[in-house]
Amino acid sequence: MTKFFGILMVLAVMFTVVSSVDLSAQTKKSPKPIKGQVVSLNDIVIGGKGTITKDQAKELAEKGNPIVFKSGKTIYFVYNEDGSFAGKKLASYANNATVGIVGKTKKVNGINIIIATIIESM
Amino acid sequence: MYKYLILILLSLAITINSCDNKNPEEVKKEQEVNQEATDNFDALVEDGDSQSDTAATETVTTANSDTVKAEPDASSSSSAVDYSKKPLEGEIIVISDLMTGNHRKLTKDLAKQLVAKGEILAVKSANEIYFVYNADGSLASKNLASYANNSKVMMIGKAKVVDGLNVFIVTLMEGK
Repeated sequence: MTKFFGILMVLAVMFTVVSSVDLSAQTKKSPKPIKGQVVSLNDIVIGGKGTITKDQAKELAEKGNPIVFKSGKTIYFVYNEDGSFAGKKLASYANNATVGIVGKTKKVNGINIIIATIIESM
Repeated sequence: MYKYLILILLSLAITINSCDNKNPEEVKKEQEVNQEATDNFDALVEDGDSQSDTAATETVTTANSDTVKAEPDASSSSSAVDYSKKPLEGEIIVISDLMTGNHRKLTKDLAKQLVAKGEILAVKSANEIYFVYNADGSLASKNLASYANNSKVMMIGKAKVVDGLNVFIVTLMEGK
């Protein structure tokens, strides 16, 4: 009887451990994308909404002007995982009304940064 | 009986350990978010008298003429801080360095190379980052790159906050 009780307890505890590990793994694997629009910082600076077409965005990015990501009222500077600025990559999504970015966000000196792993049209 | 008790204790220890694993990650995240306080630059402290003089000459000025520094407050996005008399002084930085935490010592050549690759240069003054724009609305990264050999750059113009970002519309730039 004691043996049976012991085995039962061990199994119960093991089940708890396995399920908690599985849960935490699931939350890491399926991060939600940040939804927003691709905008021109230049246009926002001069008082516009930042809305641009893909061609305009590409032209601006080529000239070194920042193409950024706006989600709500927050402006994000998007970087690739290798540390390079993803303005040119973002420009390709400028025609999409909503863009989703999966990645790690940071706020440094008041500047919001996303290190993007996935950029997708939504 | 003791065998099973030991097994149960061992399992409990594993459970507690797996729960604790989350905390260091959260702590790490917070550390990354708060890494902004790594560098201390000389604060741009300007006396109130000079700012008052400046404020008197301009039509668009901040409501509080005693403060000179641009306040990075989203609510004050419409206000502009005038630097037409006393320049804003700061260090040229690369925005991507903020992300990596590796603040490179910039030279003119390196800065020009980075700008050519599409990197954004900005000015850091009193722990605030300013995106520098020309009066025509174009980003002034190329102009900034020319002054990257200087330890600091001084700029005449106007500072304002746009969507939480500090923007400096430069009319005159000089190396220090």
